[in-house]
Amino acid sequence: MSKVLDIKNLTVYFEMSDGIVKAVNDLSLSMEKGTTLGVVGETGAGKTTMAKTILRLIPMPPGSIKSGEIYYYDQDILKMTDSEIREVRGKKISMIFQDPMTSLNPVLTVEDQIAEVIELHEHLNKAQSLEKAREMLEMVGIPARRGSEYPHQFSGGMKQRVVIAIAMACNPDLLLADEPTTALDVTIQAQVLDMMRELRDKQGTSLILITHDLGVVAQNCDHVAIVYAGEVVEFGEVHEIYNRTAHPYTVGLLNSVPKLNENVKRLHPIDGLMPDPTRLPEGCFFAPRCPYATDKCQSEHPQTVAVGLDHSVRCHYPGITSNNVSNTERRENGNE
Amino acid sequence: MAFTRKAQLEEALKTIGTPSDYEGRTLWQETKARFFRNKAAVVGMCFVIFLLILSVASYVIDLVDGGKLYTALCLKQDLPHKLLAPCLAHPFGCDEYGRDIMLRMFWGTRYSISLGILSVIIATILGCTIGSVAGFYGGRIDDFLMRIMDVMLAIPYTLLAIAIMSALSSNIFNLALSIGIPEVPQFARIMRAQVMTIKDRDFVEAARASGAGTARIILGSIIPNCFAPVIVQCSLRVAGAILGIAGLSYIGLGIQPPTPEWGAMLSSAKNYIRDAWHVTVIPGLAIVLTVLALNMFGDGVRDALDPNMKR
Amino acid sequence: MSDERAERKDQLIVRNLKKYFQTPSGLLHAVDDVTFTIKEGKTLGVVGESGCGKSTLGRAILRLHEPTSGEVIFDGVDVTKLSAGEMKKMRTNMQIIFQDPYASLDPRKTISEAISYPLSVHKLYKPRSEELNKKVLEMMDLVGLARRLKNTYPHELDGGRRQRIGIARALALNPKFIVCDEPVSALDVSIQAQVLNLMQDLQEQLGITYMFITHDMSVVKHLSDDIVVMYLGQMVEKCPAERLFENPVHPYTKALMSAIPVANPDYRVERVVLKGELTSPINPEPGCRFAKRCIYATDECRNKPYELIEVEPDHFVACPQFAKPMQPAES
Repeated sequence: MSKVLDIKNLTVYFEMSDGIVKAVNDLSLSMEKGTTLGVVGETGAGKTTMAKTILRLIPMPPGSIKSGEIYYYDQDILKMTDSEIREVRGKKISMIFQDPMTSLNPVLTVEDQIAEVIELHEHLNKAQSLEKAREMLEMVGIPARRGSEYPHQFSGGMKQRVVIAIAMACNPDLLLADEPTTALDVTIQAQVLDMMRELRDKQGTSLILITHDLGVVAQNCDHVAIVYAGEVVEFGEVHEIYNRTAHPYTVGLLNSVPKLNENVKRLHPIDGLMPDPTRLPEGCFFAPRCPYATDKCQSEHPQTVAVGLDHSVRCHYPGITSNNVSNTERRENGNE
Repeated sequence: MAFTRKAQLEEALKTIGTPSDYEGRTLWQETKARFFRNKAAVVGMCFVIFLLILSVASYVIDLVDGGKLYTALCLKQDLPHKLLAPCLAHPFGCDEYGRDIMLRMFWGTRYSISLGILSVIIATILGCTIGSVAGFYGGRIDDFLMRIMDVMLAIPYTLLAIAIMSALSSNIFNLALSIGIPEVPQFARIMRAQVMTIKDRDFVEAARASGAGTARIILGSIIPNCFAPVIVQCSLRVAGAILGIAGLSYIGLGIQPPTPEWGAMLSSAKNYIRDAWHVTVIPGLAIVLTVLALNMFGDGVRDALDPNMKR
Repeated sequence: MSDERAERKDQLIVRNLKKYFQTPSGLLHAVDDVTFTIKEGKTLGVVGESGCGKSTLGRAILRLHEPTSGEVIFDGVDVTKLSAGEMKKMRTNMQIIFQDPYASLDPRKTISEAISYPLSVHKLYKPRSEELNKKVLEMMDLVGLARRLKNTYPHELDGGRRQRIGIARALALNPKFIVCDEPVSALDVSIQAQVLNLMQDLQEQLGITYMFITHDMSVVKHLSDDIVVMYLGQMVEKCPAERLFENPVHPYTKALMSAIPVANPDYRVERVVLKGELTSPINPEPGCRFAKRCIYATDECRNKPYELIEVEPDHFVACPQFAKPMQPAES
């Protein structure tokens, strides 16, 4: 199995008038073809910047890619020419943006918008593209006869399905989904995620699912990358991450979420806020908020180390959180 | 895809967010900082300030010497120098009566500036009152007021100004009125749109939930948040007003000669366009530069205020 | 458990509350015949998806929208019948926290001005006096805002801090009852937890009664004593919080709960699938409004009028099929 995406040491800065915003800092992750990678992080962690950089959608002033490579199979995306990257966008790697309300062109019918992408990449004529567009609509669960309607005539969930149809129309290898269901009601979210799963099974697409919802990631992803202040602090197979959590930030995130199937009296949030990206601390970025931080953590920036077969963490004291007790055991023993 | 630098910056901001400083910097201070970064806007502002200084200076001089200097330099005819081309003694040359154009223009600045500002003040006060009432109450009041505004908009600006001017006696205030009133509908619409946007915001509901009455809500919470687009419109419309005054004077309805208002100067010079270019070109250039400076200033104000509105 | 409940007095009684809006396409039944009681110091969770009317319900109780009909009885007084002056005084008892931390604060007011606004409306302190300043600082301490932020503006702060300002503002008048309209939905996960803990602490310290409106079932379970599930303006299920998760009866409740993704990859939920999308609350047809989406729906469901039936003590369900009235022998 080859790696459909391999990001190596990506660093992206934005030069603003008030300072340099260090959006992505030495970020590395990779994924195999046909798998789903969940990218979890809070607002300002750099996940959207990372996704947009994969498709080179970051405006180059003020953004600048300081270092790193992004390999799509064996090609470095960052070294592609403009025409090469245009071939990739929409056809090989596709992206879904967060807000379905503003992702669609209000003056074109939905089938036209899907057909546009098909015409561009598959070099079919107008009639054939529309034919394929209607097929895509059916695939995402919208009756083909609604293709001639305009975006404002659809509800939020249906708009997002149209957006997904556009993204999947050319059968891309890799789909980047940036918070695709955050703006949707929970029952609609469940429907849309189910539909995405079916589509992926049918077409064999690899998926990067960017979200802050730990539940969505647990139920849909094979691997998880936890992003904090522009770097990956923990990465691994999904069961490893949830049951043998190794980074204090991930533990904090999991403890912040009230869980349906557990009875927790009080939540244990992480104190403080994510650091200002123009003023990142020396040493570990999470140290100011970490209950286990030592002097070494404040002064030395940690490297990524392996803690399991398919599990790595960026910490000076990997595994300090669990002390070799897995989370499920801890839960069963009563977690108050 | 963003094409202008400004749009690119905004897109970048959306992706990464902005750092915060906790310095107690008001929106006003941030707006000022943003404005001063725009060089064109600062140049425009400096020119406008320069003109303001000239206007004030001419008032002061007249006050001090009772208009004697004015009469001697601007009104007294000096026919031997008729249509003299620009030279060292008379840098802008002389007009058809031999009067020095530069000095006349100096004294004429105040008419353009003060009339421009006065007419915009009239338009703002009337327009914003009508717009706020229409926007806040909606329904039939809104319909009624806006239809009146529509009627006014349907009449060409200059015609309306002429009509008002002809109906009233010719003095400075009436001139400002006739230039200002056709501007009222624009201000009313802008204010109305802002009020309608703001009144549905949660913080207005929070004010209601705190027990505030209607008057307190309109004056304290809604109106202060509506000023930004109005300010922008003001700075842009002063330019339009100056053109309007020049236009009215040109056709003889505004300031009458021999008062050295720039439009009036243009008008009386039009017969000499072929013999002496400086008599028309120089006042005309002054009008153009003033309008340009005001537009640059107004654009700068809008750019400085805009990002705050979006956030 | 029920003895403890009986001892507390009824703080808020809502009876047959309706709020309809006239729209060009017809009569929008935003809130349709809602009845419940909240006891002093307790929390009622109101859950539902967009369009169910929960936000309108909260605002109608505070008369930010005038109710079309029904009663809202607070501490024995029918709020819907108060005059403007009496209502103003009543507002010191009933406050609201909004969802959007960005839109709920006046951009031109500093933190201290925002918090002192309700106090100056009711003329409780002399403007710019030392007592007013002290009160504002007290409020800031209460909600965990650093005192040095007193003169900052909302646009300089993040969502979590802005939400704390909203909470401080709601608390300034020392209200007994607060409607919380999705107060944490717009916040990041770790900030949500901080704010939820704060609200819990405030309830324990000050004995405030909450009506907590949200679409997030896991949050509502954490904080509520009783829960009401709403769909298209109607209550479809109401019961104590633990009961709802042990024994949900209404198909919509079951669907809502099964749709929530659990943060545990080993936990696979039996999904109750819903058909189609939300129907319109404009001129709704008689019969169960959920029938169009319900996989169990029968003709009887579509014709039987809306009725809330007590299926076990304190547990009410409005489902023509699954709500079986409890036997009189049980109790």
